[in-house]
Parts: sequence; C-alpha cells; structure tokens
Amino acid sequence: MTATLEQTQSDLRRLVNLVQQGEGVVITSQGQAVARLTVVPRATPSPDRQALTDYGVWDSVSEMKFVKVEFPPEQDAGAALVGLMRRGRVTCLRDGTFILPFPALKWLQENRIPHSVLQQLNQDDVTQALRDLLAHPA
Amino acid sequence: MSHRRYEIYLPTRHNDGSPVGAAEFMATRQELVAQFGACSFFPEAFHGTWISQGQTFEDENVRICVDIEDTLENAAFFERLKPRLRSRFRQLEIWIVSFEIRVV
Repeated sequence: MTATLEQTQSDLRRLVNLVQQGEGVVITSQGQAVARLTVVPRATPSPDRQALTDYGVWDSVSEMKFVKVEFPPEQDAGAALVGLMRRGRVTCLRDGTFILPFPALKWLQENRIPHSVLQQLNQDDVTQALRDLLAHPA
Repeated sequence: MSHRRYEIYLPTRHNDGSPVGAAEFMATRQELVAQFGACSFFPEAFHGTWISQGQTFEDENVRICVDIEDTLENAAFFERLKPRLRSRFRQLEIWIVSFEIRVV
C-alpha cells in the first residue's frame, strides 16, 4: 500500500503494525515514492553462537540443575556425547552414566535420542561427586 | 598428595574436513573413565588454525578434562595415550597439557 508523508506522520503506529504483519508500505511525497517501511529482520546468531547461547546459561545460573542419565544403546550414548560436548559440559562416569546440565534434556528430546534420567542433581552434588573421585581415585 | 589437571584438546573434524565419528570420542571416554573414574568434555569456543608443511589446517576443538593425583603412573598413562589419540583422530599432533591444581 502507499501512504503520503502526512498520512505516515499521523498514522505511523498503524502502518508499522501493518508492516509487521507483512504488508509493504511505500511513502509518497508530492506523488513520488520517497521511502519504504520495512521490517527489521530478527538477528539470528551463527549456529555456533546459538549453540553456546543455548547452553551458555549453564555457568551463569546459580540454581542450575543437572541430571544423571544413561543411554541404553552405546550408539545413542555416542550420538549424545558428540552432540552435547559441543554445547556444554558433559561429565562421563565409569558406570556408563553421564552428568549433563538440565537443558541438555531438551536437546536429547529434540534429537530423539533415547535416554533414562536416573537422578536430578544440583551443583553441590556434582562438585561432591568429582571431589569424591579425587579423594578416592580409581 | 598433590593433584594435577590434564587437558586434552581433540578435533571434531579430521584434517580433510570430514567429521570425527562418535566411536573415536567414545573410545577415548572409555579409556579415561576406566583409568580414572570420570572425565569431562567441554566445548572450545575458539577455532584454531595452524600451518604444517605448507598446509593450513583448521581445528574446532573439544577439551577433555581430568583431575587426578599427581603421580608418575598417571603421567605415564597420558604419555602412552597420546600416540593412540594421534592415530585415532588421524592427527599429526595432539595437544595435551597438565598443570598442578590445589583443591581448596
């Protein structure tokens, strides 16, 4: 649609709403097209940055929870490890289980990787588990 | 007893650009957890570029971290592990560093 400069000035909010809904608005002055209202595209982080953003909260949220999971088939464990280790911390334990930040569950579900959640952990649990290993090495 | 942190930097792609498979990482994980009980994988946000014999290689790395007792036996384990990792990940070199840590 077209709108004169005067119409644009008096009705800018409605025109912006139209643009956001996909309508094109050309602004005219003295019968000539002089400008166009366009939507500003939403900034999309690069894939790597997106991955870090997805899981970047892991270190900054004090109440972040963790989960201990297992993957019945070894093949699924491999797919999970490769996918998650590029997004955040993955701690592997001798019994075949993995400690993951809670948001990793969403990634597992999105990627349809079968898994069982064995335990929910908080930061203290994870720290204690690692300290126990240090105090009582294999 | 003093403690030491070992860090292994592994590529996610071979030098020809093909992705490293899950089996290579799982085998490495298995060796470390069997020896030390646990290990942690961390993403490395930085991409590395290096030149060898006129060729440029680009790495996107994952860091494996293990905190263990500072013993000669443990040091020897990583000495033996390194050539296996070179072969497994088809790399000319694998970067492994260690430094003393103090658990407060």
